[in-house]
Amino acid sequence: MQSNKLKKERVKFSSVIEMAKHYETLRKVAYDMTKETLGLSVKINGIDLLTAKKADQWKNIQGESLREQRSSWSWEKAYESSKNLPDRFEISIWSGAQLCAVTYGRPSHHRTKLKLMLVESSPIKPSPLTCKAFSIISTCAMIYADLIDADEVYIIDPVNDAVASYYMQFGYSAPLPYLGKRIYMRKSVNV
Amino acid sequence: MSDTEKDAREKAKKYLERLEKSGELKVLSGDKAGEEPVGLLSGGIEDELELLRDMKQSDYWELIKDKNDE
Repeated sequence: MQSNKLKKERVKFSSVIEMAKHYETLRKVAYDMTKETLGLSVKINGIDLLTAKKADQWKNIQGESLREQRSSWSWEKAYESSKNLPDRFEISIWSGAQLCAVTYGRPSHHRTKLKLMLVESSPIKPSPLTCKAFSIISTCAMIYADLIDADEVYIIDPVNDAVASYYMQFGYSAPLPYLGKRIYMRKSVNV
Repeated sequence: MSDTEKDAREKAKKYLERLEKSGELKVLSGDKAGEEPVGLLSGGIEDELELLRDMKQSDYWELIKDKNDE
């Protein structure tokens, strides 16, 4: 039987510290279960300042065989913005000491949606994850979304058609208008 | 292991069982998804993040504590 802490209608916290600890535990469970389910020998963690700085270093890597487009945002700024949100979704994926992918997300105000706001994986070819970055991110997001009783996962602003088409192969909708000037893709958490 | 973790593991396990039963887990495995675009990339709501950059955890708590009563 589930405890009251996992039933949305009964979630009560006496302090923000207690709330932060609760969601940190849920993220950790989502990381562990994703790893176990997909059977991968990678590390799945949250995002600390060093991880964010490392992701920002992708902008400086040059080479003909590398992905040209780089993130328009600063992962360090995103870290600073997100670290105080207790119920945030965050994930970093590592192969040994090599950072492979990072993602930040946050639940909507009523926690009915989990919005993946920033997604980036290593620009280096071949990927150390052998093309599994999004599988890991999406599986983990779905588990976390279910744990917080969200009913949909949104991906905001895929950068191009190739990325959007790839997301669609994981069951996400075609891109839809989002707040007028952006697009998003949605996937139901419920099965 | 805390009660929260124990409950969360149990809930996640049941969810994964449902995903497997429905065939959704195969979709999420990406085995049939073709080649992943190098670097992926999506996002751009940095302005939304900026709004929260200087917010302390206690300020955020003030903003969301009412959600406890939903």
